[in-house]
Amino acid sequence: MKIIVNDKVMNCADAIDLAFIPTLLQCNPDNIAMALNQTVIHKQAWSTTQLKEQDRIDVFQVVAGG
Amino acid sequence: MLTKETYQRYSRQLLVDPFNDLAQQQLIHSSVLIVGAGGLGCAAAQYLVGSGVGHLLLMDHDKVDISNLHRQPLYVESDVGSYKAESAARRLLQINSTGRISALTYQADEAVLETFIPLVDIVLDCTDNLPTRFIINSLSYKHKKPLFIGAATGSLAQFVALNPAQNHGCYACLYAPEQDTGNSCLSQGILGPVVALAGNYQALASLYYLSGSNQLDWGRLHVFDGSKMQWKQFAIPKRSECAVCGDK
Ligand SMILES: [Zn+2]
Repeated sequence: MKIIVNDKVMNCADAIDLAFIPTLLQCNPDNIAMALNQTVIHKQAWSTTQLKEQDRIDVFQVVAGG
Repeated sequence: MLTKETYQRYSRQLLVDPFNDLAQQQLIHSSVLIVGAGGLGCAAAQYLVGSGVGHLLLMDHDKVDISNLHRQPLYVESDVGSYKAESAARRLLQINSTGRISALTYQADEAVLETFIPLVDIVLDCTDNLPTRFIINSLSYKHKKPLFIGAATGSLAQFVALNPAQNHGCYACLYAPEQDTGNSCLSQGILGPVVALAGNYQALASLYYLSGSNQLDWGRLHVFDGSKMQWKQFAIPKRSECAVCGDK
């Protein structure tokens, strides 16, 4: 299926959840946060959040500096 | 009634509709705790004090370093080695001497925050690390204080306004403790205007809230990416199992 990750269309398997996205992007899951269709999904809920066709995922860095 | 001197000082913001006399009075009678007097705290404090916030409590146990000056405009070279809270308070009183400023040189730990958060109307999280941010979030909810959070690293800035009286998620619904990346300003650097953007968002939202002159969109994460010069916004839903804001 097609999903949109950080404004880019990507092809992936049909039955994946949000926890798979860091693997897809080859990044450390502890350094990122994610939003699905403009709503933040807490890290604890990534593995229970199934993705569907045309879902829009924003991956962004956890920022805590100041 | 505002005095003639007060009118003169705040005339340019009083011209902004719907910022009126009542809004100015409410600002003058408000109190704000800013935790952290770095890039976020400098930006937020200077505008809040300038706009007439009655009592600012500014907390930071750190001392000014030469490497701070590119992004922390309340400090000058002669402040290097002095406490940030005290140097900032001196400078802020030069901007506006009509309000009170309390320089707090404590480390922002749980006991210290538990003492000061109940005393103020709102809290600004201008700190530089995830563990302290979780403590501020939890105590702001415990004492039902609106919390305005800024953060920045590299070319990235984030802002969120949380209101414990509303039904959105809190900081613990946004991030998990294991997402701690350490002191990112040391490892990834920081651009002055980027951190100032987040601090200015904190100041603007606080100004709107305290003066009652604008409705805020609570519980939304604002994310700025300087490399694209682009903001995005995301809703933060409440997690029912959240230990801070959930339905326990
Ligand atoms: Zn929460």
